[in-house]
Amino acid sequence: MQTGQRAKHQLEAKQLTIGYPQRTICGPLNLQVSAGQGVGIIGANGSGKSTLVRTILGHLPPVHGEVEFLGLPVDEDSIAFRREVAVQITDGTFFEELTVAEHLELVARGHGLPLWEQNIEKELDFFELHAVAELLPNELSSGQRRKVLLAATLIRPAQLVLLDEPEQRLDLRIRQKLYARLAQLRRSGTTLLVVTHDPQLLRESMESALLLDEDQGAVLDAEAGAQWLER
Amino acid sequence: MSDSDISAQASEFDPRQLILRAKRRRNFSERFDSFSDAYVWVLAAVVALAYLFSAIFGLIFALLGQGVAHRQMPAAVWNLQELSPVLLALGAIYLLRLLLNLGPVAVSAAKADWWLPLPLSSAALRGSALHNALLIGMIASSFIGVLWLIVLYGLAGAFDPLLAGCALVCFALAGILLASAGAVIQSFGQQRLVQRWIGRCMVVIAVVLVVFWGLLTAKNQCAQSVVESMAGSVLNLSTWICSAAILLSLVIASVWWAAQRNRHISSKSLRSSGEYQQRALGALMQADVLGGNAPSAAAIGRRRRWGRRIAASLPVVWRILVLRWIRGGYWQATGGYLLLVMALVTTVEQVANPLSAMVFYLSLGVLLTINVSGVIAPLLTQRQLTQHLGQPAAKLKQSAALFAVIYSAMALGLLTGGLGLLGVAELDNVWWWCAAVVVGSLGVAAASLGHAQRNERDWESLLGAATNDTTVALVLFSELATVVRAVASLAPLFLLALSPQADIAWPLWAISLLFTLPALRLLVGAFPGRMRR
Repeated sequence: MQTGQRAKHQLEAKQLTIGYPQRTICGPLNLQVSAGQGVGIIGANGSGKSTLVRTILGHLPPVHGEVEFLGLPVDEDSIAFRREVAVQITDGTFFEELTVAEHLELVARGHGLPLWEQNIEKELDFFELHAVAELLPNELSSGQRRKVLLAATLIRPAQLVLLDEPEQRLDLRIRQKLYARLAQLRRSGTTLLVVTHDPQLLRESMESALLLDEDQGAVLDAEAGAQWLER
Repeated sequence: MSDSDISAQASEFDPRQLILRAKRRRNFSERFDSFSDAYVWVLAAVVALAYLFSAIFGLIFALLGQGVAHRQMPAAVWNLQELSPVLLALGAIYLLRLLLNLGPVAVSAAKADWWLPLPLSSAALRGSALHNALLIGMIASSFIGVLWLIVLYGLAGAFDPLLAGCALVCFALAGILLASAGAVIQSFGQQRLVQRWIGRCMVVIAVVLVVFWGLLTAKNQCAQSVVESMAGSVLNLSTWICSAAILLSLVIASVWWAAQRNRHISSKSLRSSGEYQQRALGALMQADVLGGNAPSAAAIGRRRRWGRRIAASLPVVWRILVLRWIRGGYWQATGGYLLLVMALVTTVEQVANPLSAMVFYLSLGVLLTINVSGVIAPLLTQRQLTQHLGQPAAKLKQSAALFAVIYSAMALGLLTGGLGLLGVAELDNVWWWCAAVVVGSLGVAAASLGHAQRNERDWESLLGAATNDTTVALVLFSELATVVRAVASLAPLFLLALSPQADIAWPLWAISLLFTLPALRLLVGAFPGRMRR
């Protein structure tokens, strides 16, 4: 992807105020995230965590300030941006007529993975979805649907991965596997931005936490963030 | 693997093939289910259209007061045929506004979540989205055209198939033109600006109408000839042929421009338009006019402030009802209806007749039933409210019934007073009128209580819950019973409107009162309780 001339950080938010024209939710925030860094986004309900992620993705315009990815303003319409940024931020709507495996095929082939069949197998193994691979979405439980969404996010290569409360509705074993995988992804150079309420995820997979509190953002280390969640 | 390898692999992949493959895989039973669903909906639409045709025709018959003497209103300078071109302009403006609300170019939630984020060219996705938008515009405009032709047929009393065919072609072309214009506006991200202009356009149309009304009242010859030539032109075949030719050339240019601009529509706009379309479909399924026409943020703020002030000193149950009425915008339908009736009676020839008055009462009865049931429904159906408010269910029902009676009495009283002031209703027997309004309000309240208690969410769940033909018939019968109950209790008002001097026979009062019993029983239960306290 073409990058800006002097991009020191992979992702940078400058004086960013988020919310809606009639209602500011949080800000101004300054955030710099380098390649391979893992930042958890934490805060009370309604503090603007999901709104921040949507603003970073360009789904919502900032009220003030700007967000840059690789030194360029975020642009969801750019093919390069879509290739480098993987997202799981909604509970997900599915194609009624596509099976679980076909949903993964859509993402894998859409991202040009040459060995897409093996990649699908790997994800089905990891998320223990083999038994439901040929089922349609309306035949899945809410936890299984969540696993499909996470599998679709992680099956593809990306420089930046954004997740919104990935721990929701997952059983403990899958959660632990997921946290280990996120940590490994980070070590291999992928940047992570994860909204979470789980202190374990912060401790195991992230190195810092952005605390959205009282309209401001403060960057804490992962342990301090986990302690804030446990208070 | 290099970026170029990945791009080459990705560029060969077409998500449409995968989706099409999955669709083809469906077995016969699934295909048949999908076909029969579509068949039932199309059939239902055709039947609904037939009923709509009858209703519009009946309404025009009543408004013109065929065979009944009407009162000469000094300000009634319009006739319905002269107003029909205004309906055309309003229809086009409202359709453009609707299309801009809907996007009009949009992708479904599944496509937005799974296809749109892929690093592929989105030309195929956008192409099909534009195609759908043009189709929506064409169908919506053709529907408006059919309604308009029914109105015209009702007014002119004659039907020229060639003229109707030409007119329908014009409507279909106009729909495509408006949808492609909407797509171009969407690509520039200027929907809000254009919607503001549309608002101003409505004001301009209203001002033009008022100016012409003033000129016609003053017997201005020039204005008279303009209005007559406008009204005459809608029945002229050459007008429609010329319009079709002009529209066709405009459609070719505008569709080409929309196709060029389509790739500039942002992903955000495609996604949010898809959400709007989903919401609009939900509102349509629930026959929820309020849901489909969301108020502006400023209007919501105003309603919140007013609601807080008015409901501040009320008991908690009444606060819920009054806040729902104000903030939910339920007052708009009744208020708008009463204003429209008064404007029609005052300014349009022949409308000031007893038959119209009866139709106005009938329509208000049905409107109020649906309107009031929307306000009171939570008190009757949400069991947890009794725990949250610490009040027994019977008490909540009584408050709902009292609210329904007061609200209905106010609306019926305003209509009666207005028609009386304009001289359309003769209010000599004022006590009879009062009694008829009270009985009518009780009947409307009883009907709305019944409608609210059934807690029907939408048409699909209503009919989907019915497992066989008998239960479908029962469901439809209970819907019909609601309307009949409201209308039957308005019988004394109908009689007074049609024949103010005639005595109303006591069996009619008795039958009307019979339909008010559910509301009466609740209210009679309420008052002794209060008196004891």
